[in-house]
Amino acid sequence: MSAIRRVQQWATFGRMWYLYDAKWQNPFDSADKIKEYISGTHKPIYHPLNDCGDHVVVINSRHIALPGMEWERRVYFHHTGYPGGASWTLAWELHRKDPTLVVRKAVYSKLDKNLLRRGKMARLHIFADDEVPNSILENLSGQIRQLRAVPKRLDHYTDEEIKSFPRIFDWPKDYVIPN
Amino acid sequence: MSLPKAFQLLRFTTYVAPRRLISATACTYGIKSRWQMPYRVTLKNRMKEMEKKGLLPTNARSDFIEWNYDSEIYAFGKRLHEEFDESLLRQALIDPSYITRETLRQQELGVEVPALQMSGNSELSTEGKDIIFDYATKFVRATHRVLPEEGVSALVDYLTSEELLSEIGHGIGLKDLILTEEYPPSQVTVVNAFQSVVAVLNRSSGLSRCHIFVKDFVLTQLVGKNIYDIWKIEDPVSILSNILLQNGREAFEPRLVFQSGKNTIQAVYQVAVYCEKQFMGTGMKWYGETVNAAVEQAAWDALSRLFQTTEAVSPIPFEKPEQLNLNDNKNMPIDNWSIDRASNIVMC
Repeated sequence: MSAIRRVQQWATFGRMWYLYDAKWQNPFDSADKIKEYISGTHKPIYHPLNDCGDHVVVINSRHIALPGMEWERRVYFHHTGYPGGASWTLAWELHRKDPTLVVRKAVYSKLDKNLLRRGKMARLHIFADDEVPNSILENLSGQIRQLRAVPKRLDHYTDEEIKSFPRIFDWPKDYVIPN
Repeated sequence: MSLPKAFQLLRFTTYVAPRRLISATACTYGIKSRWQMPYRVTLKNRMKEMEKKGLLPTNARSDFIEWNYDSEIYAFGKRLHEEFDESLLRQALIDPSYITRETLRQQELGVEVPALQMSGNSELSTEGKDIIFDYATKFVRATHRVLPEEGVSALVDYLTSEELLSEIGHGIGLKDLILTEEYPPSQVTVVNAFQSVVAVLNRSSGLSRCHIFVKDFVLTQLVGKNIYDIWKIEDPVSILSNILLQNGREAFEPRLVFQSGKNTIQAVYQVAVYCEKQFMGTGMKWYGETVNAAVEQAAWDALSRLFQTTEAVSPIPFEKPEQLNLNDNKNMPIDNWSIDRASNIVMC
């Protein structure tokens, strides 16, 4: 193989490391996106037998946003295998126990059900907050765009920004704003 | 004959092979009698041994009785859609070794002065070789105008190499047409015959027609080939530095432009070569590869970009050879290669 072909080979099959900020994101819609990256379907060279999935580092999984009444209505089922071993855990309970599990289970259930599933899950690294070990941060080479940009709340603006914000009209000077 | 009547009758009835006592099931499932397999194995081994000793008969087409050389010669031109002078074509397909053998054979048969009215293809071969070499050189120069002269000569050497030309000769069916001492004909014999065919075409239909033939059969062998597999660049780093120096540019500077998975075994680094803050080429470094090798790849990539021979360049315009500017001007040599001059050359 000539030198150019070897370079092409490595440029094609080198593993990328993507960062995904799950803050205020829907974990189930995010899982749709993340699964493409960890199984490699976002690449033109994808083939089921081609091990070309990338790594995804998910941060801020504690701050995910479930849609509608999902926190109270979504139930995670588990059975110990013994009689009477069934248990049903609500999403908010599970999230309180382990803030990475909702995202992990969402991605796991979206992946194809075959022997490659565990291997793909091994390429998913979830962190509850934005504190990620340096050894993993150094690996990063790209970022996945969030589904929706996190909106800026009024209390995140500084007083100066609020004051300098353009207004439609000015109150009369002698107008008293009732509190 | 004093044979009993029953035996006499046997002569006229069809012969029935005595069946062994194999069960009906075995017969249905195709079990053959016990001698068949060893018999076939023996035959196969014998065949292999004969092949090793060269005792197998040649499969020359002319060994068969319905071989018609005249019609084959006629069909040869028709197949290629070319008009050949028939007597010249016959001469082109005669290897000198064939004349020697025929002379000897006739002398053995008692003919003192063999009256052989044939001459070999040596002269035609040289003529054809020159035509191919000349046109290939001009064509490659015209289609790769920025490529250094060293690269051009490497490509032309490849196009006129014995392996390639003999392969083409086999492709157009010269193997059975050549009159030669040995069969199958050797590489050199096929190459000589092919070059002679080119020369005959030149004499029969003119040089322009001959050039089209050479273009179609020889030059198109460049399609899908990587130039740098044919022209091996030794030490691209020093060549690139030399070119930059010659053109009064600053020395190039390698930079790390991309990396992924730094703490893993599958770490990849992309190195790029910059000259005066201008991107020139890139290379990769991966596990087990040194930084120097990555820089060498980047320099090599920069060279291929300078010479306009990347994979993205438009294909060689074989359809419009008349638009090419074929002349005897040499390309720039690699020791005196000018970036400014190259940027002024417009490729078609």
